Amino acid sequence: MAQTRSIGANLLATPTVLRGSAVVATGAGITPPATFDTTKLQNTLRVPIEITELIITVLERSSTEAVVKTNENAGAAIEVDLRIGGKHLTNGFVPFQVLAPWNAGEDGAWAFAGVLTSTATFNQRRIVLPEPLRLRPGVGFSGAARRAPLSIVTSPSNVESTVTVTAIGRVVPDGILGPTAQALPLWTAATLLATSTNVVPKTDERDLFNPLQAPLDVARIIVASSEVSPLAQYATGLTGAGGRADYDPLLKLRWPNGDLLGADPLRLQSVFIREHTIAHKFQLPGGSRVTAAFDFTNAIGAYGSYLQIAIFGTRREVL
Amino acid sequence: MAGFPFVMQSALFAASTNVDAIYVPEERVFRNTTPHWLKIMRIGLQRNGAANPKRTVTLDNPGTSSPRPQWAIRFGHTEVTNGFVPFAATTWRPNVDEPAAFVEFAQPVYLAPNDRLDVKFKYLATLDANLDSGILAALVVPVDRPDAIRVPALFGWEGTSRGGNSGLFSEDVPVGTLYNEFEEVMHVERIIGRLGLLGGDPSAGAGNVERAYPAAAQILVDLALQDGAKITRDPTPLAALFDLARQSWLTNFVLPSKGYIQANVSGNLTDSAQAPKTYYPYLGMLGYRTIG
Repeated sequence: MAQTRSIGANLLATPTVLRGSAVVATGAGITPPATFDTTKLQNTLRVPIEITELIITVLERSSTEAVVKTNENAGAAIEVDLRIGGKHLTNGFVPFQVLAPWNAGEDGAWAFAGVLTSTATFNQRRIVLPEPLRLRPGVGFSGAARRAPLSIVTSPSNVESTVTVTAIGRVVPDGILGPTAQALPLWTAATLLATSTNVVPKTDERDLFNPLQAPLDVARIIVASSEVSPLAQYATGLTGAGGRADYDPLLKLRWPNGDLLGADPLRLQSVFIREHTIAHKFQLPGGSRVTAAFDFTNAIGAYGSYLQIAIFGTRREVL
Repeated sequence: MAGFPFVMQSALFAASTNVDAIYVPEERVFRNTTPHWLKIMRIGLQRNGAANPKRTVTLDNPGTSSPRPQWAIRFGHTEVTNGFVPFAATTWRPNVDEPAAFVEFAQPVYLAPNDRLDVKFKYLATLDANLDSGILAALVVPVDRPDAIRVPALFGWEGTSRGGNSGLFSEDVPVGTLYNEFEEVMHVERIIGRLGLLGGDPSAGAGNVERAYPAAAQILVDLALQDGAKITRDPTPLAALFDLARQSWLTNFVLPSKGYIQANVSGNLTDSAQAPKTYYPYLGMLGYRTIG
């Protein structure tokens, strides 16, 4: 059989799925990281596999009836740290909500109320990888999840969060050459919290930072923003009145070369629309960072406002 | 060269009782002040609640009438719209639940250095005093100078309003509306169709230009090209022709120079329960022509 460098449309390839979970316990504040079972996220076959997409799901569950808040975004306080073969896919912990664009209707039936029972709710993000990731035998994903509610949230979480990573792909047929360097994804993110109309929170040196020496080929910028109550339970969200997906604060964002995203502070929804995403290819130089500031423009009672931003791209490395 | 994205955003177009007044963003807002060519990815109208910073459904009006906004767009000196055209006829929702009305150019559209995107905006009817404000925004990216310029063409039509129980009607779209007046052929990439629901009980959706579902089955649309070639075989319910979520469909055909789309909207509105409501049919098309 002729050797080729890719699985073309005319070749059959057996699908394969890797799935591993981590359980984040109940409790207050930032929880200790719960690690994924790496044996379940590892290529245990004797042949290479290619991963084409990742699905991250968060199941929030309580042992007590009616504790689960269906008016909060499940997973909004969950952060994920992912690696592959020891190489970082995230720059530290990255908020779950900004791992991927929000699907159509996600802030309706699914986002905050995938209510399975009165004791469980559910959310999901689907990440389509720019290029398939090839895993040699024995190579796999690893990482951890944690709950990191914003500092304004004083209520302890009464729910247990099960975070599941599912890697979906295919077995590589015989005769397909492997790539040398691959496009490894990388997320770098920031979370900003405003609790007063007099404060305009800004990112710091660790935020939206490309920690690599090589440039990052950026594919997407993803945001999430909402009001947040000190009484939010398992998720960073809003109890009572208010909205989530439609929240529209002002944003200033500056690129590493000093250029601004807009000449004036921009309405978030003008820029990112309902998918919460700008999809456009550009490069983030190694060691550079994007700075952001946001003005939520209006305080409502004791609520605060948050903004999560992630830059998602790839870099070429040998895995 | 793929540079960093940039967003041009206007100030708020506040709710107003000044019907037909033309609102124009500041001159610098949509001007390319960079030394690079800029590619326009999309232009849209968003609505923002000034008192409560949340976005609302763009073409809605919680009262009994819609402001029925219209816009006129030029790139540099080249007209994109043939004068003022209805927003409802020239925009669609990119996602099922996306409330913004905007135009996204699948074909690259370019602004030369120092060129302007000239956008004017007006309301045809008064707004409720507590209504949110509109914001125009364009997402652009710097690119290398293009070899050929594709100029978009965005045409739209607003039909006569009719009551929910007004009976039989038939109305032709004027020939000069969905009409390629240029010497170049026009590649049509999208046809837009929408039914505005205005008047009546707000709790039943009145004022919502986006969700007139019941009447969408009673109103029929018949489309053909200038030479009589049928696009629809016979008059077809609007709800069967246009995705009610996205209110448009993608096409891939060419209108010759001086070619046009013939359109007729007809129906029999007989729902007495809907009698207080009024319906506006909208038809539009997005295409481009290549110059240079």
